Amino acid sequence: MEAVLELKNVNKHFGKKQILHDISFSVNEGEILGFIGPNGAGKTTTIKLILGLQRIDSGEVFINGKNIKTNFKEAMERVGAIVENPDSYMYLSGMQNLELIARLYKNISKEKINELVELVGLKDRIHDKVSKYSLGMRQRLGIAEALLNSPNLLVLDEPTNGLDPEGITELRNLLVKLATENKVAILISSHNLAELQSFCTNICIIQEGKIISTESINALQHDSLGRYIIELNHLENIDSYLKEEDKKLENNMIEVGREREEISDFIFELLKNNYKIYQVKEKEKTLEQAFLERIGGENDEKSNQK
Amino acid sequence: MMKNLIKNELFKLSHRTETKVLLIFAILVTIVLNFMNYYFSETNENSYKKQLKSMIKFDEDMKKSADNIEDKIYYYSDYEINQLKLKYPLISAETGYINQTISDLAEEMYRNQFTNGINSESYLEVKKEYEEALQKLENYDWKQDINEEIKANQEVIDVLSDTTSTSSSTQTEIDYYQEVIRVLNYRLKNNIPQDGSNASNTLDEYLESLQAYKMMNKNVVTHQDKIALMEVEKALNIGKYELDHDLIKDQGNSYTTIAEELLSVASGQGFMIMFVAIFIASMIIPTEFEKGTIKQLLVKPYTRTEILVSKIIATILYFIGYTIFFLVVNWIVVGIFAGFNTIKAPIIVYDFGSKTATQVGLIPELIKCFLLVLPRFLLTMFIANLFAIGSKSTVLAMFVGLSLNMSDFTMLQKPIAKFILSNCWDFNVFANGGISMNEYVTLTSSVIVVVVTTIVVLLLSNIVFKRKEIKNQ
Repeated sequence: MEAVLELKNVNKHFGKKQILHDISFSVNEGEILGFIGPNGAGKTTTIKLILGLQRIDSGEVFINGKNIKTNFKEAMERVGAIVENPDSYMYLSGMQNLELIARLYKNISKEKINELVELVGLKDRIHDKVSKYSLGMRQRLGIAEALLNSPNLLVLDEPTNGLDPEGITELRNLLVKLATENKVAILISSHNLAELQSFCTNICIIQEGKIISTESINALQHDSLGRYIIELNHLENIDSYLKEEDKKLENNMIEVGREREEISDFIFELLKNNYKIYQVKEKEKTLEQAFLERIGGENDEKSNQK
Repeated sequence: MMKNLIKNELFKLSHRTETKVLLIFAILVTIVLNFMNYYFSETNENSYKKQLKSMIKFDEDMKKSADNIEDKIYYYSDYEINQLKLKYPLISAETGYINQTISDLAEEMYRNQFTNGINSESYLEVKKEYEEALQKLENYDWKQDINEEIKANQEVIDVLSDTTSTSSSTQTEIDYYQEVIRVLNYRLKNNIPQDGSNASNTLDEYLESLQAYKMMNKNVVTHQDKIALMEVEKALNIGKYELDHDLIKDQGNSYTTIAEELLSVASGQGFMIMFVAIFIASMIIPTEFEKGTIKQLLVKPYTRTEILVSKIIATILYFIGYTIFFLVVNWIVVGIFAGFNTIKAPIIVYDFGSKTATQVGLIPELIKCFLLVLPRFLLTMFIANLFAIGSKSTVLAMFVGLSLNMSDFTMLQKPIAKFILSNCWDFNVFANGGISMNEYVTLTSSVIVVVVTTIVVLLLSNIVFKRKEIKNQ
């Protein structure tokens, strides 16, 4: 599979401060890469470098195999993007905005525009001025604008800002459809991991300008296996059975970390000692927790180094 | 594909509130200025009559309170003359006669009355003369006066010709008086009394330039002398041409003509189109930065240079469109106030080299004037644009553009003057062999300065725009 977007050791400084350190990742066709990191981690800067909005100090960015430094026009031919906010001309109508953009690419038909207007659900308001739109509507218009040139790379910077839950669901479905049916490569950034968890194929975590991990959702979720919650009739003397990282919870519940093989022995031991067990459930750690642990781990390493 | 970028820029420009306001502003400004010019012009009959009435009232009061003879003479005669003027239209042979002859007589009469007494011989003599003049006024035949004047001038010529010494200076004198007679005959033939009309004033001005030329030292030394001589020669030759070709006709008494106003707009003398040029050039890039829309534009498959060039071209096209719009507005508004036939006023162009005048058509002359002043507009726009890119501030860019245009270093008589942009970017100065008021500023130096500055400014703009990073919000 060919990488639609590829970053190779990209570095960026603002003045003396290094903002990005050797950023490398790639997005293949049909992949949705969730670009996750806290605010200020360098998500937007990375996206701006990819789109040529800021200069790359060192390293390379390839889009469809074209280096954006040397071959910018061709590289951008099949890119759709929303950076920071949807930036439409407020004094024009939604339709006028779309027509402006359509004029900048070859052969975009009127039908294509109408189709997209329908797709993002702005049909009734498309001739209103954008200044009268809500943030959510502007976001939808921005998505229509980004899709006008039938891109094979979509770069979306926090596109869920301002969308209501329904809008987020719609966007999610749309992106999945684009990725699976049209083989579009999608880079989507967010500080909110929960939003991306359900539909991204890959996750790339950035913190303080460094990529901490890039892997598939499945691998990340695998980390969260191995913790169980058990409800007992009481918690007297329970401490003697718990390990260091195990926890007592409210309502006579405990949380324990055990390998799959160990958990059966553990339950048996409790039963042997006259505890009654009402329920045992595997705790599904959210991606968010896995994510926080990654960042935490990184921080620990750092503090150990000092 | 660049064409579409330019199309988009023009589309955006024309849909902005600011540009719509500027269009309405152009109409309002033109109407207000022309209304004021019309109403307060010296040839406005209504305001003239109003003014006369208030002056009469004032004279009446002053007649009573004046305590010295000079004041008394002035207010008594002024009162009388103003009463008289009230009876005749402002632009009329009668008013001309009152101003030139009767007012002097009135003053002389009152001088005699107050100094020599009401029974003095001198007073009675002038009084008789004055009354005769009033009589004459009632059935005023201005042609008779002109004929008398012709006779008087002919007599002067006869005397001059009789003198045995036919030196060149006497010949100049004779030529002068012959030209005066020619003007007087012209008045008779074309029915132009000395009535203060535009045609009459043009004839008077021609005679003034003749006289000035006669008195002038032709061996000029300084640059300023040279300019003065050239200007007088110009007035003289244009006047002569107009006489030769019967061009001084009754062009009404309007404060201006459409032709004159349009030429002044096209040669960049007004503030409005300069303001628009600076405004558009200053805002076309910063507004995209302010609203973040620049990101949208820059991620399209175009190089930054293409985007910059499209914006500059759109600015120029919009400016030219606005100028045409402004010309049309002026044509209509001036037409309403000054009369639509004033578009037919002849346009005479003078060539300093061959010292000849020629009549030209309005449209070609408008285009020529506009093209000659275009370097000034273009450079102003380019410089404002450069500052706009650098600072992302419309206000700062406009300040720079306006300062450049408001500053005037024409009189800086030092060699450095030739490097000052505002001294060289308006090539109307050099049109038809003209020279700059500044002796150091020549056509060649101006061309070099303008071309070099243009290239440097455009290259710099491109570099700055290409290096511009879109900072995070």
